[in-house]
Amino acid sequence: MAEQTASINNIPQSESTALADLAASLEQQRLRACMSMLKSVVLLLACLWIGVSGIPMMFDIKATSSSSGEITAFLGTPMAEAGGIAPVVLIGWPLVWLIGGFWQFRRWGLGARWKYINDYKRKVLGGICRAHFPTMAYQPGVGMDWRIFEGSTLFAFTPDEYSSEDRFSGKWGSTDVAFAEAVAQRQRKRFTLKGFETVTETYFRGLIFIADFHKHFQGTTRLIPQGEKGAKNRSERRAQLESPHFEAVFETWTSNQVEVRYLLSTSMLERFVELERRFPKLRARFHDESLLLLLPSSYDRFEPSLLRRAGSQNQYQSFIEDLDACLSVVDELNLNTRIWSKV
Amino acid sequence: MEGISWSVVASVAMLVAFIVVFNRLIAARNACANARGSIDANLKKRHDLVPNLVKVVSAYAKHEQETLARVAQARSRAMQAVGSASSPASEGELTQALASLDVRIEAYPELKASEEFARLARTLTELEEQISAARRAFNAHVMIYNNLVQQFPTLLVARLTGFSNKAFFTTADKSAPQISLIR
Repeated sequence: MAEQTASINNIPQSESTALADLAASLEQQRLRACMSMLKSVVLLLACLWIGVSGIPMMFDIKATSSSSGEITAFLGTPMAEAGGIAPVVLIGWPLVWLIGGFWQFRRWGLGARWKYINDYKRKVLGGICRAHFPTMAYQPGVGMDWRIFEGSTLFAFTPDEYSSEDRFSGKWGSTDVAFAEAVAQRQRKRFTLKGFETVTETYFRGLIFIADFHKHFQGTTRLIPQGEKGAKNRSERRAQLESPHFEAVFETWTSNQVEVRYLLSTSMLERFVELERRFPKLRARFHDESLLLLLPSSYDRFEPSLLRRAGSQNQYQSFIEDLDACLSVVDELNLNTRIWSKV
Repeated sequence: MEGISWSVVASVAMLVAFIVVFNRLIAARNACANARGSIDANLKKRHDLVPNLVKVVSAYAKHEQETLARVAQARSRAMQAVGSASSPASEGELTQALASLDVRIEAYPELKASEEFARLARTLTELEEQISAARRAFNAHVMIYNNLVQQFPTLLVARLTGFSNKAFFTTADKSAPQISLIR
């Protein structure tokens, strides 16, 4: 599959010109987004300042005598009523400014950024994908269904929050593949000196990668990092495989002790060990004639930066490298070798 | 009275331990038998495939009758040996014969292009891997079983009830060639 490895230098001329035109229009959008962000930040700070600085001014209002001789306090209200209104105004005044400040920041500041990122992904990343990986389709707003993640039973718990985006799907060599970025979080109750508190924990961030496996099989086999837990399944038993390197890294659970050795041949064991070096704590599940991999990642791939020019060649190159690295999993696991009855 | 009750408790505990160990030994032996059955089933599939392969090859490679005859002989010897102690050696012989056929058919491009041959070759490759997987599974179960038979204290129950060591399924020739008719 080495010939499918892409680089920025081999973009076709027509595609290169189209990308340059796109980049020029997106650069204007990027600059507008930067300005909107800047204005929104200034406005947000102003709102915060007005909201907070108003509080001491209100405290300074002393009881005064009005022209009618009535004693008033707190913005001219009668002394008797001031006690009821004061807390509402004291809390409401800064609250209105705070909410207003954050609302405008989200609406104009972040909104412009999101629009730029979405347009960039759709146009530029979509164009790069078509030019370099013509057999793959890119859908920036689509991810992997949460049921795929939850149904994998590769974790002992189910997510409370789940999001997924940047889905790539298509055929790589002879293998059908689909992958997307995903983040899964769960809420945990923690006991502290103040009592129980709920904390949100991100337990998976990375790629969900699904590939058609090159051999026929019927059961289920799961690879869990050594010392960690997957969901309990009564029909699965632990399998001890021959490779000490593999056993040091993975715990294997399977519904069929012969089939697991058919799927994980001695060379496949070594390939998984190599893949684990690239993606530490990876998890895998063989089920329904396909292979599902959860590949942890420390950073968000396929996200353009607002601080880099829209036409940045380095940014293009890093996208190509990221995509290439994802697809190289197919080659690393030798999934394109089709010498068995499954063609 | 207290002495009697303690001895009863100890006897019951020993009986329970005996039953648990005995059941583990039975489960381990059955797992070996099941894995051995899986090897034999896959070997049978390979034996059934060989005549079809010989037939297709002989239609294209008329000058390879000697090699084909050797494959047929090795197959019949392997079929007779299924389930016996000489099975690994006979299967190794069949593997050798198929490997020599694999080398010879390189000279027949029409044969390699034949759809029927490609299908048979894929099935044979798959069967080879399934046999290898079944053998690995059998050996893993034998290791668990032998550990129970040889380790203390389970060896006490094993000796009392007549469990003995099992032999691993090893191919006669460690450097047996890999058969891959598809390249």
